[in-house]
Amino acid sequence: MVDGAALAAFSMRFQRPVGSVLKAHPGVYPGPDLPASWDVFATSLKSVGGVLLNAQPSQAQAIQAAIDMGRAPGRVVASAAAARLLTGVTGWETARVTTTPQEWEDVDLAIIRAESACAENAALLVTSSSLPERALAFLAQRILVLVPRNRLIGGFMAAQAELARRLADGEALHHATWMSGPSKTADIEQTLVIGAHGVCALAVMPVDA
Amino acid sequence: MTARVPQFHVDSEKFLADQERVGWHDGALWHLRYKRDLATQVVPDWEKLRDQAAAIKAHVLDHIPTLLSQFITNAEAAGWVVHLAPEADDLKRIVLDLLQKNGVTKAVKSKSMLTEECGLNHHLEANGVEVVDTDLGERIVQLRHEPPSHIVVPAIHLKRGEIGELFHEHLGTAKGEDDPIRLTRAARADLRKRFIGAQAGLTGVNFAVADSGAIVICTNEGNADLGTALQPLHIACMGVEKLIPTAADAGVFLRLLARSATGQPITTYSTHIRGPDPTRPGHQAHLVIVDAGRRRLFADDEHRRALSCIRCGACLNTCPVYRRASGHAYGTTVPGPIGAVLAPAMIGTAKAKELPFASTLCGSCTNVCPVKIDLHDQLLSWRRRLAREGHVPFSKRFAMKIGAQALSYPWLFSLGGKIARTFWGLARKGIPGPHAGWTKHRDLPPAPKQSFRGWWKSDGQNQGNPTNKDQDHG
Repeated sequence: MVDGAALAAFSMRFQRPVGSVLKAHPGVYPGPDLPASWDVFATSLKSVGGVLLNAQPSQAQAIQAAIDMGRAPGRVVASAAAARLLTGVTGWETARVTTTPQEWEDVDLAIIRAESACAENAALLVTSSSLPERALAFLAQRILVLVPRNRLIGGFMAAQAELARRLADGEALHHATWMSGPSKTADIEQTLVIGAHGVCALAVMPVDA
Repeated sequence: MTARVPQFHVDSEKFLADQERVGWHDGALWHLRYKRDLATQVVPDWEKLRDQAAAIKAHVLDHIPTLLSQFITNAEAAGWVVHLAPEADDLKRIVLDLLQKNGVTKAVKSKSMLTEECGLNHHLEANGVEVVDTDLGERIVQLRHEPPSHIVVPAIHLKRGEIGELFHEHLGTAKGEDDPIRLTRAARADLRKRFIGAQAGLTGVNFAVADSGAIVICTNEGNADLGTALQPLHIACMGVEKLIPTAADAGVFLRLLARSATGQPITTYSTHIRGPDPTRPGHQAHLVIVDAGRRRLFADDEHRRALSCIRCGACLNTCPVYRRASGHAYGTTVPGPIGAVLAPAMIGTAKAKELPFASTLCGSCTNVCPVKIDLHDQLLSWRRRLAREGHVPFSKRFAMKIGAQALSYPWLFSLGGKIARTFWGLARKGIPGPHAGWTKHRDLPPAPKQSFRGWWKSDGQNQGNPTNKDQDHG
């Protein structure tokens, strides 16, 4: 626990003088009403380097095709939440609960389940509730994100407000990440390179969950 | 904190000596500014969003003690161990202590301008802890033993050939290899080993959410996630101004930050972390909250607003001076317009006396700032204060006096104009003496034949428009 006296001394430095008129919080900003459209999501996703896959002709077949599309048949690992959606799909293993996440270093394709998606910026939400196997999503070379079709939100203000409520209402979330496309950098001469430290490719498939 | 006194007019010369590079640098940054423009134009509520962000930050700056106490309560409840660092030395001591106690010899670090500013890496290295910067640009400048030249793209002053050379030497890439994709892959492979081998991950903080005790960290590369999800110890360092009331407020900043920085709709990874990871027994999460001079900015009514900065870099990218002089000329961790506003309060007016003058006051920085800091007004107000405190050289004060006189008397202004037009041709070849710098890297436009007033009196008022375009300058 931070020492009370130390905190008081530290805080004093940032105390407005007595009698100052303090500015109130401007209130919750709802943001514009943006359409929850998968077409808009697809456009946003393309702009950030991701690919949208359709669950055609069937969900299982489409996921199987995504797995088999790999350059070499590498290790395919699904998070526990995603594994429940993989009935009828072969060639993958379930991520086991581990205290040494380093063991996912050689994963070629990770399959995870996102809780929601946002059309405005192609962001996909994963949290400690849907992805306790957090490191898997960053160590894998490629990632397939399955997201419930009915969990698309139009604008990011609404999407983040939902997460904010969960955080503030005491849901014991340790981590929550919005992922928008594969990892990238433009640190060498402003040239965009997809695949920095996180995944080198990201595909999203809306699914029935 | 920089040890030596920044000398912008001297240090900028080094970069300006290579005019081809200056042009390229200028273009690269303008491209970022252009992408920012495209991204903001498609957001229907961009200006409302900026207003909201500015209002949230104004509220925060008026309520730091309350928010801090709320944040710490929630953070501790989530398992964070919170430390307070009144000075840079405290930050260095606390972090080193934690690392030593846990037997850490190898740490990875994601981007944190605060730790740069406090000289954390140097302190840890000097005490036997290897710290590897994991943001690609920061890794590049670290291998070159240089500070970053930009807060978002730290190696923007370097060309691919130079980075190729560097990687050839340190990462064993082929001699002459300068392809950005292959160079990035080489760094990826090297850093991956380091993420896995490190015993601790150090990170910065973009936003600290008071009502939940979560911190938000934004990266495009995924390095902050790999630098927190694998190591048994996480130490996050934040300036006290990073507090925001709620995670819903973070939504406002997440919509602004990446669009302003690079033109992306949001950073690739925007991660909220709350305390230690319950799935990893023994995992520790520490949070160091730092003042290190921020109180001086806070106490300064004219410049407190600068603490609202979210470090997007938009003001650097748009600044005509920054784009040509590059970041190292400023001699401070944060360069550009925001750096020149922060520095006089952070390192003192005597040391930072040149920086508020490294601006044309064109106001572009103010226009692009996502949190609406009145940057060019702040630069001007620093100039006033520097003059009052006697930090402005005699030549500049003298020139200002002459200027004030000329502008006060129309006859003197008119005479001055006549003299200037007579000697303009000579001046175009380069002004001699202490003001030579004004014409060193650019030419004066040709002089008009007559003054605007002269033209207006003779025939201008009878015409629609001046026929000679150059008369605009009269």
